[in-house]
Amino acid sequence: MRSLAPRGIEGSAKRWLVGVGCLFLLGAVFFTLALREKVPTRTQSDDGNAHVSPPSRAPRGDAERGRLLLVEYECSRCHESDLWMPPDRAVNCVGCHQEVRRGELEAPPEAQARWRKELRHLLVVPRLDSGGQRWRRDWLVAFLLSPHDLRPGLEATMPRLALSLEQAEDIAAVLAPEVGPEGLPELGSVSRGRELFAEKACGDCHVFADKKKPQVVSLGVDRDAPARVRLAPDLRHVRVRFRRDRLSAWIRDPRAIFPEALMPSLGLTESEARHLASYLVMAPLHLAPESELPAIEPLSRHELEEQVSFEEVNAQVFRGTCWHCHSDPEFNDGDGGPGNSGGFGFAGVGLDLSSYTGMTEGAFEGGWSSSRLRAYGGAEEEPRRHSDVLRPRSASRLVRALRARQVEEAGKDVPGVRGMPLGLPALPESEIRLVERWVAQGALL
Amino acid sequence: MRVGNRKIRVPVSQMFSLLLISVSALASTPAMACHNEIERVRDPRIDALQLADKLLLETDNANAAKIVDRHFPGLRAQKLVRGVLALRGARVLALVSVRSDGGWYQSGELTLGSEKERAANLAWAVRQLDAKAQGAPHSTSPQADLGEAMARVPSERLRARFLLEEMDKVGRLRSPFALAALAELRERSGDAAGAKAARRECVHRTRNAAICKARPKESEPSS
Repeated sequence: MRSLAPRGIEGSAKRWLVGVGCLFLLGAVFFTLALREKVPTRTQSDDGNAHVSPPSRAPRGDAERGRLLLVEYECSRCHESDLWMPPDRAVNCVGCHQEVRRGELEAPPEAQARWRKELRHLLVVPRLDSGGQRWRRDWLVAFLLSPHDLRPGLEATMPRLALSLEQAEDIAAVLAPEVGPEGLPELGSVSRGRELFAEKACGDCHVFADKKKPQVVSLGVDRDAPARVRLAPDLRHVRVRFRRDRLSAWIRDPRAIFPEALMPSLGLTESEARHLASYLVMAPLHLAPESELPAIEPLSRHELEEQVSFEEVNAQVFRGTCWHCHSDPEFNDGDGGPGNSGGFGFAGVGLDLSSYTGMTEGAFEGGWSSSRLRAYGGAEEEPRRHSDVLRPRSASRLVRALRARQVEEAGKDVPGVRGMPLGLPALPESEIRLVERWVAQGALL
Repeated sequence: MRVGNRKIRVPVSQMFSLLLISVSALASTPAMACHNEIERVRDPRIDALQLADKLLLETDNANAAKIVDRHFPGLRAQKLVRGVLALRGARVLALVSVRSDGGWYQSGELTLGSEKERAANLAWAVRQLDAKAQGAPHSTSPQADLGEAMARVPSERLRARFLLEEMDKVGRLRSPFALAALAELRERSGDAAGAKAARRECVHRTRNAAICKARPKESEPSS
């Protein structure tokens, strides 16, 4: 059909349409690119499942580079795995702690007895080769980028490392190698699954926030409980953490999937395992409890006036906690710990919190990634300068790091500040306040 | 023991406080097992050095030197001390010497020898602190220690002034002892306002304002 419109008008309309089309295409390309680079964020979905939303694109990752990164980020400091040999004791926190617990360390008996009494953290940690056939890779990527409390029986959590999205994907490609379309789970009965959960006493080890039951947030931290209890994950996360086509097989016989699994076989039939799997995946959940930040009162006049000595703050905080990772390299064969000489993928920032002089020395700024990690595109570092971690008195870097850990525990991040102590519970408010007072008073000896 | 014309006594109260500090250091158990804790248990010199560092900050020079002398005998005989821990010990002895105008701890006492001996002690101190500073070019306190030591040696004062001024300019001068030394250097060059500012900053950095006071000039060796 011939157009009735004059030819000139038709031509300009065409050009206009082509222009709009090009703009639309350009916009679409930018939008797609932006989506590709989007870093996962914490959300609370309508099923009440607080978790980190996975990146909204197909999983990718280079397992070969991932293996190198597992070494670079020193995952072996805490985790056991068939992927690596047990490291030297000096960089094997959990192995060393276990030796202390068993009394096998070569040290004077009185020192060992004291250590055993004081030892609280990093005695049991999940193996890293346990999840290969069941973890969802997208969940793992999100978890690595923004770790949250997964195991209520442990005080320590996965530390917040300086991982990029690309690095997290590479590591996930090693630890969760299987990707691709998940098979559909075979459906079972949620109510029968609920009965089985009670019959098989799953709740003796696991927390699960079934909306039809009173909410249990934690079974408590019992340091003498067996590892299978301490490491039992909060089952709220199963629906984002597990490949759904593997869930019932895992529930039925975990050791058939991972021979060193701590979860025992419960003697379930195939259909019972299916019911339980359906229950875990489909039962409505209580909303994840909102972690509240402690109300922080400004320091009172009395608190500011009553002198805090270095001795006091050192004994209660620095020596008890910070010193583990921020020590003096000259007193430890050149290794001042991850927070001084470097470790966990962090370049050495030279922060020594083991002495007053060390503290006033400050820290190197910048350079969170080491030379090998710079291969991921980071620019060559500028010459680094020293920063005074005790200044300004009103909000020193030291206090901000301690406060940031409280924020992280409440499920948020503080941009530019890594919460301390890394991967451990935030210090009690009274201890943070003591540091705050000491700093506000001039951080004097 | 008296050497030369002066003798510095270690008061009973200081000895008592040293004893108390030692006992409390041994009895306190806040630290948990970690590799640095294991090293500390294995090598008692580490605890000794930490205690000596602390006493030095508290201006208990005699006891700081005493501890180092017990665990690292014969350091003074070495022209340049080698070894990480020994050099840490040498730092303590060097700063004790610097802060006592060239004095030296020997035979249970901190004593001031002849002018020549004091000058030799200070030269030894500068040499050790220089070695330590060269080993840690980006660290603040070894540079500040060196600046403080050089400020006591007439032939090194120009270098000391340059180093301390540079550090002060970028806000890296945090040692009250080094700030006091800078104040003194500024005074010598007639910069009264600069000296006052350095002393003011010194007072902000310590609870022991005596550190920041001007020292009598005749107490120094002349070489």
